[in-house]
Amino acid sequence: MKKELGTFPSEAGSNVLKETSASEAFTDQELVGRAKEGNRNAFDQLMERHQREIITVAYRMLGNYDDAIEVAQEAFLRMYRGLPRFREEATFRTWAYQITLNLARHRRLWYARHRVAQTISLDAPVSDEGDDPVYEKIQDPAPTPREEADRAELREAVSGAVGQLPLPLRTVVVLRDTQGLPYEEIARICRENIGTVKSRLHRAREMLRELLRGVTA
Amino acid sequence: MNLGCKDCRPQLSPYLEGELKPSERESVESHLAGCPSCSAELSGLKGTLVQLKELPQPRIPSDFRQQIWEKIDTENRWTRMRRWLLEPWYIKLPAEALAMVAVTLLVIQVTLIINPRPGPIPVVPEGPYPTSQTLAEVAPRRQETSPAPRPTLEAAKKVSIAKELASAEAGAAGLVPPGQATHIRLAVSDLAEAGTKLGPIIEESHAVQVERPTPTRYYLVLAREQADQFMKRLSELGQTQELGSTPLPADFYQSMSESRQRDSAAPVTIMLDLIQAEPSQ
Repeated sequence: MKKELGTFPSEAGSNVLKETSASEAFTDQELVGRAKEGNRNAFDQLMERHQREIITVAYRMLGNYDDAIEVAQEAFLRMYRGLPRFREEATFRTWAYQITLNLARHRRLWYARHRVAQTISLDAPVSDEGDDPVYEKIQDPAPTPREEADRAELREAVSGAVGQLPLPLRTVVVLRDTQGLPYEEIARICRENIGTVKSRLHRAREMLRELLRGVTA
Repeated sequence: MNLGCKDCRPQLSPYLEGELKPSERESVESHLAGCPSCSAELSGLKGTLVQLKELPQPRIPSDFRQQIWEKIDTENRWTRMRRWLLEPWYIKLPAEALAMVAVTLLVIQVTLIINPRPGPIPVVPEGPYPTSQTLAEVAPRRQETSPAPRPTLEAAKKVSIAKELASAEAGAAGLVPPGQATHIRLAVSDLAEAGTKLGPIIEESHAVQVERPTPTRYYLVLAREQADQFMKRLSELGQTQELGSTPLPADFYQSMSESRQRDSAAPVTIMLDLIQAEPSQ
């Protein structure tokens, strides 16, 4: 059966983007190919597919929600502009991560230059009432208030510790331990060899354990 | 090989990742079996990894993609407009020519504002003029060019420009520093008579009596080439003394700019005081 992408509304003002329930049927590579031909719907589907991880990785790297959204949007803009030059030597996801991490790194340098206080915590307390502007409500089998308080404290401690890691170690921990990417992909994203990635990861974890000593048993 | 805690700790993360060689793995496991501290560290590390994995994900704004498309479309519109404006030669060239003309005109305009051409500058006075014949002659012309009797904002600007001009010209003439006049004292035997004789001398020297704040004090402006002649004529009236330069009163330039209508040459500004000469012994 021939797969149809449909056409994307041609101009701005198309407020409601088409929900792409069938998008799973297309590989990233196919969508990239169509997006390169000018199919906006294809690029929209790529964004829909990857927006969560791009926003998350930006947020984990920056620790600031508004900045993370800004960086993620800028990253997608750059991807759109750069599509004609994207040679597909890497996957779309690898490319997307590279662009996002690069922008996040520049943003952190900007923080440093302008002496903007960097948020250490990557994880503000989660609102179970669903009124937290940053996080979505987590589906959890009814923890007791005590358990929830302990969990929130632990989560905050872990996030704070990640925030204290040097940038290269933090990048690897975020990609491996929060995003669950394989070593090979992390190596391509960071443009390092796998040995370096592994060594950074183990050093980062050691540092995390030192920072969290006494918090987690 | 028996591991110590110090050697075992760095192996825990690779151990969890399954990256150790079988012999290394065995060493770690045997150490862990007999070391509660390293076992606790291992379970702590596992707990941390679980925590990292379970960190909640940030919310995706409902208009996240829509905002991106809006930015893309805005960018596209600008790109199209730029192409439309600049790409075909038959539009690009005239547009560039027009832009150059516009910039040139702007530069000329700005230059004229900063450094206007010399010429009469109509000024609305702030108050009544001092009664002098010379200024009385000037006054009607002023009224022709500027009928508004009251000071206005524009008049104030012109006064300011006139001040700058007068100051700059006097400075350029090298005779008096800006804001200064040459102070001359003329000792005469008869003040009334000297006052009467001074009128024709001023006239003949083509000088302008800008102001006469007191019966014996004259502010005069005259062309540089007339200065010697004027001084010679003054010496006929009495003993002249040049006392150097003196600051001009604040409102002097307003009147002075009027005098430029008659004499646009670089002026010499003089403050002349008539004093009673002491009777000779």
